[in-house]
Amino acid sequence: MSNRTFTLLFSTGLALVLLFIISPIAGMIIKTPLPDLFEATRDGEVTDSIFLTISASFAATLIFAILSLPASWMLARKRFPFKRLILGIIDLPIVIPHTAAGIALLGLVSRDSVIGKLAASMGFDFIGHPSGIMLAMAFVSLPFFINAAREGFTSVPERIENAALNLGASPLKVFLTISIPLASRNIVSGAVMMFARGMSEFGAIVIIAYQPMTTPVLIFERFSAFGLQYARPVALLFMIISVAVFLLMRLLTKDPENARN
Amino acid sequence: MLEIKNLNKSYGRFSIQDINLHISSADYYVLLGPSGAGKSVLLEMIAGITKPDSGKIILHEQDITDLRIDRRKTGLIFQNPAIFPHMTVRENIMYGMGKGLKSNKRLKTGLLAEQMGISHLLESGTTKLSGGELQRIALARILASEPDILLLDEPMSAIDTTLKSGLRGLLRDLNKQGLPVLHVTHDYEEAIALANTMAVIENGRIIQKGTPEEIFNKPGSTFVATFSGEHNFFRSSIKNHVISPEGHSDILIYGPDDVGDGHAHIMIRSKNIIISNQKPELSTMNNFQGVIQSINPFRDGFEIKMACGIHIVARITKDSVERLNLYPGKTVWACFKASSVEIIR
Repeated sequence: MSNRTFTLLFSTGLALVLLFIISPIAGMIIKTPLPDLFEATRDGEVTDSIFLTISASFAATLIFAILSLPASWMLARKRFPFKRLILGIIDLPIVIPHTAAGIALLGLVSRDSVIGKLAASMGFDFIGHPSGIMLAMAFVSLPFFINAAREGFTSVPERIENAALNLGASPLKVFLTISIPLASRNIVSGAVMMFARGMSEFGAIVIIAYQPMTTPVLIFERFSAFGLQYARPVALLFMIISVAVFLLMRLLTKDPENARN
Repeated sequence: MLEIKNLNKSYGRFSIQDINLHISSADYYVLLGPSGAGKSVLLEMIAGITKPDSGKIILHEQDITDLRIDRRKTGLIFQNPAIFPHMTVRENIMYGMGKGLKSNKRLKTGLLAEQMGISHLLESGTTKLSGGELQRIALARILASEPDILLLDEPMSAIDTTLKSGLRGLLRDLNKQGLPVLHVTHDYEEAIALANTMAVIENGRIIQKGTPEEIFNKPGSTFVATFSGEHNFFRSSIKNHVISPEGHSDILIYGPDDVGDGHAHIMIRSKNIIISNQKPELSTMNNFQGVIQSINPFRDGFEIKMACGIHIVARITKDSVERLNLYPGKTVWACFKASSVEIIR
């Protein structure tokens, strides 16, 4: 095969992949009349769901990312028995169907479960509540964060951490002032991925908290109750907002050196 | 001060075995050894980064063998200075300072930076600094944490030759101010220049201890012998540009013109010594008559050891030995140029 044919073949492959991603989105944009899109922006149910989706995903990311930072460091730094098995378990939410993940979570936090009863005694319920939505979002998106943070901590030279300890800094101080700042690029990147993944979650949320409706659930509901025509403007609006938020976060978290370039 | 007792650590095929060291508070202790001898591991065990399999580490009469790294007060300078890249030079230096007024910390940082000659860098980032500057920052940072002992792991390996003497001076001054130092290196010149006590480590074992003179004049290892066999090495005093080996004030050696007065080690490479049967009429400033003590084959020729109050070792070819008809007991002249005398301070 000549070099030219080779390049042509591979370029065609790339073009097909791009077409596969772009064409449904382009089709949706073309087929959605602008007035319908503006109508969607004025629909309280739609705007409420978008706000709920973004805020729930943001809160889930913030809380669970902070809580899982020590675990990510442990997985990067320490050797312990069954480490590979633990890494596999952390990746489980990525591979299991998300509706199955929702069923599993429901079993854990339903009103009959220990956690559910404990929450109820405090006047609180995960089912049909934003906290349940956050739980479902975190469950399916946390592996993205942990893996990115673990990679970040691995890239911090152990020598630097040891130098800080040698200067008399406590392990906690070293973690907060050396390890986290030096791994911050990966940590932030992981958090952005987690946030984006959380926003787009449907399967687990629909099981655990159909109401209040997040936008993916609302799109499904409008589609199943009224058809494609009614679901499309909401879908397009949510897509535009998702992409805008994602790009904004990427831009804000870019290091200044690269941002300049 | 620092006492290391029967320290052992095994890494499969390599092991550190039965290390015993005593470092007193006035010591500048150099541990000399080739690469892979176990020098860095030993320092890491003292600093608490690596756990020994057995043995004890006692600092100020306190057993610190199982103490956490951050509580040991053993200031370790790594071969490649582990400067925190996300902090300024000032923040690096202030990092290890304990609790206290910020104004006091800033004052102390200023003084240390001045001592290390890095005051102009205090507000800079660290990513574009040279090896010498980074090592000075590392030193200032360690001193700011007020360690009980300074542990140096080949600290000059990443530094230009021109900057080495400055850093040596700094280290020597710190030791004179009362900070004990344990410095590991494979560079014999660095060892001679800095040590008042030395040990040689090879294959994870300490094989010789003593002053630099004892170690280099009676080497107990091939590593040191290779060096001392190649060179003539004397601790000397210098007055009015004339050098006398210590204990031999009658022997006068002429060195380079710019040599300053005081104490120093001098080294004359054995390949630069000329042997002659008669008093030579040469341009060499240093001509000594003496008796051949031994003639030993050595790589491409012979090593002649001559006694003239001090021992001078010369390296000459087999042809020269035969032509000059050299044999043990024969009186000969050993000559070398003033420019062949190297001063190690």
